[in-house]
Amino acid sequence: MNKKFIPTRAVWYGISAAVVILSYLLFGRTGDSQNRLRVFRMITDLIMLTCMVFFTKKYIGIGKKEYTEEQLAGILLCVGILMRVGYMIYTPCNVRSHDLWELNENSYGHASYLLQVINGHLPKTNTVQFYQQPLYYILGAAVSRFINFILQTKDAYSMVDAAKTVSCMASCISLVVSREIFRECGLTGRGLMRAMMLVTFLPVYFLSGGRIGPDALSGMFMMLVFWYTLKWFGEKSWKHTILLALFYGLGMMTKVSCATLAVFTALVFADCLYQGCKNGTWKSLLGKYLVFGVISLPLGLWYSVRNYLLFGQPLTYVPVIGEDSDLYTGGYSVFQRIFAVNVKNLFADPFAAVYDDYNLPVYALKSSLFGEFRFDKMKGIASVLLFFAALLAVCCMIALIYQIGFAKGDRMGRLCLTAAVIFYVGIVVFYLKLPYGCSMDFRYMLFLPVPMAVMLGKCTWFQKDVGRYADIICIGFSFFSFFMFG
Amino acid sequence: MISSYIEILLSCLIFWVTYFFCAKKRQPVYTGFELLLFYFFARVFPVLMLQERTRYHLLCLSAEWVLMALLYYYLSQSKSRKMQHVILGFYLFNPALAVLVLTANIKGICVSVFVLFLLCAADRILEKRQISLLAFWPEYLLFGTGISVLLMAKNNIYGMCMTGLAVAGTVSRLVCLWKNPTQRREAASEEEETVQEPVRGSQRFTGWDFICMAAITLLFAVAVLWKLGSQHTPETFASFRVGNPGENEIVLQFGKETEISDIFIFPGHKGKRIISFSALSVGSTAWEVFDSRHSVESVFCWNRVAVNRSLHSLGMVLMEGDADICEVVCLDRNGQVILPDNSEDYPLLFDEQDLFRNPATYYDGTMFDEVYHGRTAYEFLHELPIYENTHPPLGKSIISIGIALFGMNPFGFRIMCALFGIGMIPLMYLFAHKMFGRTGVSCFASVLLATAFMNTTLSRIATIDILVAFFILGMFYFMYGYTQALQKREPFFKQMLWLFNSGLFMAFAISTKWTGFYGAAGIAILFFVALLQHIGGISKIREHTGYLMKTAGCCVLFFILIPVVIYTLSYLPFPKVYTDKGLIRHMIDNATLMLNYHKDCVFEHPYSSEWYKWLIDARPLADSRVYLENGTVSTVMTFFNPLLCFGGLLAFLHQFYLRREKKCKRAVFLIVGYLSMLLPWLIIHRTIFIYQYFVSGLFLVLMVANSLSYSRHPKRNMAIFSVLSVILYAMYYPVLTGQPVKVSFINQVLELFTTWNIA
Repeated sequence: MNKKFIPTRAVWYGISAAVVILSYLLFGRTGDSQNRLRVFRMITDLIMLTCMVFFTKKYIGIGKKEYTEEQLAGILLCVGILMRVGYMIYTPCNVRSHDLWELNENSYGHASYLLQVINGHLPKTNTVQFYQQPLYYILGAAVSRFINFILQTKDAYSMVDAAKTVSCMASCISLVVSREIFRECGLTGRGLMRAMMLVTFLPVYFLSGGRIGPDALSGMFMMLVFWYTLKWFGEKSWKHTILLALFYGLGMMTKVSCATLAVFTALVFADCLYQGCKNGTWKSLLGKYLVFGVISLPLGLWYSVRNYLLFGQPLTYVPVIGEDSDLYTGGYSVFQRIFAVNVKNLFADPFAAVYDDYNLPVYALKSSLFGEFRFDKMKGIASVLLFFAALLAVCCMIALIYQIGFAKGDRMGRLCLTAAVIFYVGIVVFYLKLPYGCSMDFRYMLFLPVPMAVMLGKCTWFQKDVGRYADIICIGFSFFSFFMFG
Repeated sequence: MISSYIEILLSCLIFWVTYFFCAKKRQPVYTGFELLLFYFFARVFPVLMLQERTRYHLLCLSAEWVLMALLYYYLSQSKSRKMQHVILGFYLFNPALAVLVLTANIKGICVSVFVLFLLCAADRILEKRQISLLAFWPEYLLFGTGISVLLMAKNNIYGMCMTGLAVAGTVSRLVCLWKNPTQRREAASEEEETVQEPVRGSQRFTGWDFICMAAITLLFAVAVLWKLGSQHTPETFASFRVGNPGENEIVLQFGKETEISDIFIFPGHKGKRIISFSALSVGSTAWEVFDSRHSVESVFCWNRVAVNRSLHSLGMVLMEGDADICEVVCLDRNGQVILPDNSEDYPLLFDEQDLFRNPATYYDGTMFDEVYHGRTAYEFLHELPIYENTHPPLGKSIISIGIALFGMNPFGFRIMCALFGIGMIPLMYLFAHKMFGRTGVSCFASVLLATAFMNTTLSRIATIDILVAFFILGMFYFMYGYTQALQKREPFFKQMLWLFNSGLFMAFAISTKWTGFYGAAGIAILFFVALLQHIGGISKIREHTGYLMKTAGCCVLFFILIPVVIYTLSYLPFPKVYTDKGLIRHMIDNATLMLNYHKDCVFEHPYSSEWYKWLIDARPLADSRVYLENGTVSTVMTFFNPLLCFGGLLAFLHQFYLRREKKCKRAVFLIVGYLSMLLPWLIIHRTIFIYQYFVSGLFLVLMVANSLSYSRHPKRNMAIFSVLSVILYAMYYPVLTGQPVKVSFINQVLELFTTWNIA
């Protein structure tokens, strides 16, 4: 096994970043290079299909078993990265975008924000999207300048479009980080493959990685935060403390909602402090907590403080749409919106209807596949994908029940369960406070599939008899996700 | 058709879920009788449920016998008897085959023969590899479900997905089994494991039991009697007759031009009350008719008539039938009561003006079917012509006792129903105590019933449903007592005492509402099963001829003669009013009328709901809804506590598992009780409402109790369930009883499903 090549984590990060940037440079300017784009799609599709067939063949155990699960996971990582890059390349920045608006400095959308930062200054108001934290736009501006310098382009479209690469890189790195989380949680064998397939082929990662906006980057930081919390739980070193603080700080500099996971980390800290009090190591822990706070808080909150001082903007400020909006769902009861599963709506139309839907579970499921958008030309495939996604969601719920009631002594599983519950409660509170169709979008829940995937991988009920259908469902989901977005 | 599809779905669900859980321990074994039942519920009953059947249905049913014969021939050649029965069970509960028969798809049946041959061939091949075809049951079920979805929805993509998934699953399983052939156990061990029911507590009814029962009953009584209804509503009335000038009209004079916004009329019991309204203005000589045929529909409550005009005199002319009018109230534009100048001309119409309430809620008058049952009870009491004759009279006679004691006001006509509703709590306590022998479980069942929502609503409305529910519960309670008496081999006299009581309650139930017949069918099944078990099976009949003859004689007396007498006597109010016919003739004629009425009673109603919607509480019924000031509403809703409804549904499924795996006898009793009150509604095509499910819901209470008594921590689980149920009851109490509650609270919190239209 040692002789075989297993890429390290750093290599994967490098591969991800390089593939994203190089692909964009080679094929990036969509719209004016359709032939090259087609060739690119053909090549990537071919590679991905080969990888998937190869993987499936190995996975169901046909042929010689000469490859390790590390390498099978590696194949999935490759396919996942190619899928994300492919989608980013063939999707212009103004297609399936959110709040991008006009490509000038005065439209108060993401494009405006980005162009202002490219021109060297932060927004001078907090109007509409200008209230957002700045890290994504700063990174986007830097990468955009670099790419456009090489491509020798200066128009607003090119400047904005190139910033997609940051989202895409974040999405790719999220995938690699997910793999690390699975490793940390001790997933192996078929459980690992199930988890990998879920995060590799969940379309919301392609969608968020192919658009301008801080969602993918904040998702990446959430995963890093979760991973380093787990690592810190295992080994309370200074390195882990500082990195965790940095990721928190940067995450909150991307989006304040990253702080949702602070509840989870705080619980872990509290538990460790309690244990520390028992065994007398509490003093060193307090020091680490102090350093954690000193690093993460200024980093994460400086922009919020700036906006508070300049515009009186509260810490958790989100622009309110108003009850007159067509997006308002407050007319439905809390149970209908949050706890019930609207099965009729689920199968009536595969695509989410942002102005009509109100049911969080169903909307979240649909938007995890297609966002708020319609793909009417591919409705057949979309329906099949939804079918598999719905079954996969059922599997995840079963895994959740297993983890709650039947997985005794699995500490990592418990931590994942706690993180998932805390995060979902955060989403529910968010939707209760802001009852609008768009509040249910899965782009705000990019972290959630990771702990769910861990639980899916850890559920031993899926190892025998009827439970084996979980594997078939995962493979079906992967293939149809590939057909839809590959 | 949807109804039949859902019946098939539920039948298959029950079979496969039970199989899934039972097969984990050992392969379930089915008897020939069970297979016959399976055939009935999976094939014949869905066809019976159809409103229109063709000869093709019969053809399909017959053709399927050929299919089954072929299958049986193959199985008899190669499988053990137990396996034959298991596979026949599999065959019967393939949803695709059931749908083929239901849709009279003869081509599909022919294709099934071909598929059957393929399966037999596959079985032969797999047998050589020591692989049992039973190992593929999930794929078989999935494939069947996929095909049935395709048949039902025509090219539905999700049906194709399921079928594809089944194929993928089959391939995957084949690969696994081919590599590691493991033969499934084909038959259960010969020695059947006997599983004991949870340890029963002492059967003795202790003082502690009495205290618990009394406390729960008392609390429930407070909840039911709280603001039950007003004791002060208009009671004096003036009679008007159509056609007689001077006797068919009311002219109200206001002395000057007056702005009238509305008038409210509180009618008495009589007539169709079609009234023509007209106005006379100052300076005008001609009456202006502004509403020529206004139907004042509801009796003994305030009926609003919009006027919205300036007038000097208001004329009301009775157009159809005679009418008793208790009170008339005129309101000006500010909503203030105005007394006409000539009110003294109509002293009985303006003598109780202070009793007028605006807006009038459930508290101040009749609501929903009270306009029929409350009114007819009043008519029984005063020997007036009888309006409501679509149900037997006993229920209304009982309601009339309250009217006799407290007068014709909401409290008067509701009190008897309230007392019977309250009485159900101790009855349920006794039932649960008889069944489980434990104080805790009995308390749990009583609390669950007290917080069942529908129990409260039906106890607070003067309709006959709570009365019949009380009698049916009693009927089953005494039958359960009889089965226990048989088990304990108590003396014959004691056995017959239980039967006598059961028969008596059955008679009361049927004399109140014909749904009592459904319960009667249920107790008949339970009686015969218990009796056969007691004597040791059909083969032992000859040995016990004497005992059986004695029992049969008593049964004829208790379940036929006495009920016939009671039922006939319940018609006593009829010959008092209609002297042209005798008691028996009235009974027979009314039975014919009821039969014809209910057969054709189909009409559009916003709150009507099919039986399958009852199972999931999909369509609550609004008995009364009045919007009040400050964004509040007074609404009386009839529906089940969702916790009981959904928990009960799971418990119902669990009963089949308990019966099969734990040999629980209570489960059979409860299943028969529940289904006997539900199944008739599956083949009845009249317009129906959720309250018809109430009696079945009583068995849900006992099913939940039975299921939880088998759980690992019964006390803890029952405590949690009770607390949740009480919390929900407290939350919903205002909308069950018509207390004012914020509309926004209802919309935001109480309306759990989009089909719930509480406010």
